[in-house]
Amino acid sequence: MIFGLGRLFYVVLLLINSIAVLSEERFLRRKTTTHHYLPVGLGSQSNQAVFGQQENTTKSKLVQLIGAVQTLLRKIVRNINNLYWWQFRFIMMLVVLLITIIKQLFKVSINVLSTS
Amino acid sequence: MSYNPYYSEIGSDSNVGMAAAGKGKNISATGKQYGMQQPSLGPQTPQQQQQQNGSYLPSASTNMAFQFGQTAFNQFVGQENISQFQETMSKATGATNSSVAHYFQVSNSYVFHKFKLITVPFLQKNWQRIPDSSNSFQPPRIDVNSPDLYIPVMGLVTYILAWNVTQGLNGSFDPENLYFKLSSTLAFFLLDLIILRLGLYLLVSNTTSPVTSLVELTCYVGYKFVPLIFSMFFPASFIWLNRLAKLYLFVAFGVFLLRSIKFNLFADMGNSADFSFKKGTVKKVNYFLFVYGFFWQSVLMWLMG
Repeated sequence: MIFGLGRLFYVVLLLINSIAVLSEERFLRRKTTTHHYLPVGLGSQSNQAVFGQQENTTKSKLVQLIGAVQTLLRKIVRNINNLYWWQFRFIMMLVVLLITIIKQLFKVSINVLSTS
Repeated sequence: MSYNPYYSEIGSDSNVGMAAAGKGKNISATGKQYGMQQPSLGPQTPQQQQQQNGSYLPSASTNMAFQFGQTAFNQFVGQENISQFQETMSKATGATNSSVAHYFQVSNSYVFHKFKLITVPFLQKNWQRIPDSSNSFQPPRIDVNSPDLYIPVMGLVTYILAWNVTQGLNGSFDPENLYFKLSSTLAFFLLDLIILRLGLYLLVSNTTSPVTSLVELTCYVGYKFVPLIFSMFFPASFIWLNRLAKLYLFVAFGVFLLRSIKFNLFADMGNSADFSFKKGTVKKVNYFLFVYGFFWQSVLMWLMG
C-alpha cells in the first residue's frame, strides 16, 4: 500500500504547515504595500466584521480558519521553543520509540493471529 | 491548574444540572476540567491564561487573538462534540439519545432496509428522519432514514477480511496485507471525513441540525463500505459485468448520500422563523454534495477497491 495512516499524517501536517506560513502582509491582505505579490483578500484585517458580530459567509469562515490555525500553531511553537534542546530531544526520542513499538505490536499480533 | 478564587464558583454553577442528576462528585470534577477548556467563561479567561502561563505575560491583543482562534477552532470541531463526549462518558451504559449508543440501536429489518436504500435509492420517496418528542430523532431501529454506526463498523471489518479473501483466491495472500489494508482504509476514511466536514463547515453557517456533527458524518462516510463489499461479489473475470456493476453501485451510493444528507441538513430550518436560510447557501451545498457524492466518492472507491 502506498497510502496509509502515516502518509495521511504527513499530508495533514504539511497542509497545516502550508496554512501557517502564509504571510498576511504579502499574500492574504487585499491591498498590499508591495505589488510584487498577488493579493488574495483573505487577511483577517481586510474583511472583518464589527467586533462581537460574526459573519457567516464562506469567505469569512475561511479567514477565521486560517487565523485559528496560525494562532494555535504560534502558541505550540512558542511552547516548543521554551524547551531546552535536551528536553526536546528526549521527547522526540520517546515519540519515535512509541510509534515503533505500536507498529511492531500491530505486525506481531497480526502474524500470531494469522498463523495460529 | 490555575488557582482562581472565582473559578470554583463558575465550575460548580455550570455543573448544577449534572450534579443534580445524582452522579456524585466525580462527574462534577471532570466537568470542571472540561469547563476549563471552554472559551465561554466570560471575563475570567484572561486571568486564567496569565496564571497558567506563569512567566509569560500576554498582551491584550495576543489574548484576544488566542480567544478568537480558539472559538473558530471549536466551531470547526463542533462545540457540541466536546459536550457530547462528556455526556457519553457519564452515560456510557444508558441508551440515551445523545450518546454513541443511540447509533448502535439497530435491528435486522433496519439493516436490510438500509442495504436496500443504499443499493436502490431510487425507490425511496421520504428521506426525512422522524423527530422525537424531546427535540431529537428516533433511534435507527424505528427510523430507516436515521444514520447508524453499526453498518460502518461491521463494514470496515468485513471489507478488510473480504479483500484479503479475494487476494487469497488469487493466490497472493500475505498476512501483512491485513495491516496495510487496515491502515490505508482508515487513512482514506479519515481523508473523506475531513473533506466532508470542511466543506460543510465552510458552506453551512451555524446550523442546529445534528447532521453536521462528527458522529453522524462518520456514519454517512462509513456507508461506502457497503457498495465496496457488494462490488466484490462480481467476478473480475467478466470484466465488463464487473465495471458496470461498480458504476451502478457508485452512482446509487452517490444518490443515497446526496439525498440523505441534503434533506436532513435543511429539514428543521423551515420551522424557526428567526433563522432563514439563503437560497444561495442551499444551492452551494447542493453543488458541493453533488461533486462530493458522485465524483469524489467514485474516485475514492476506485482507489480503494
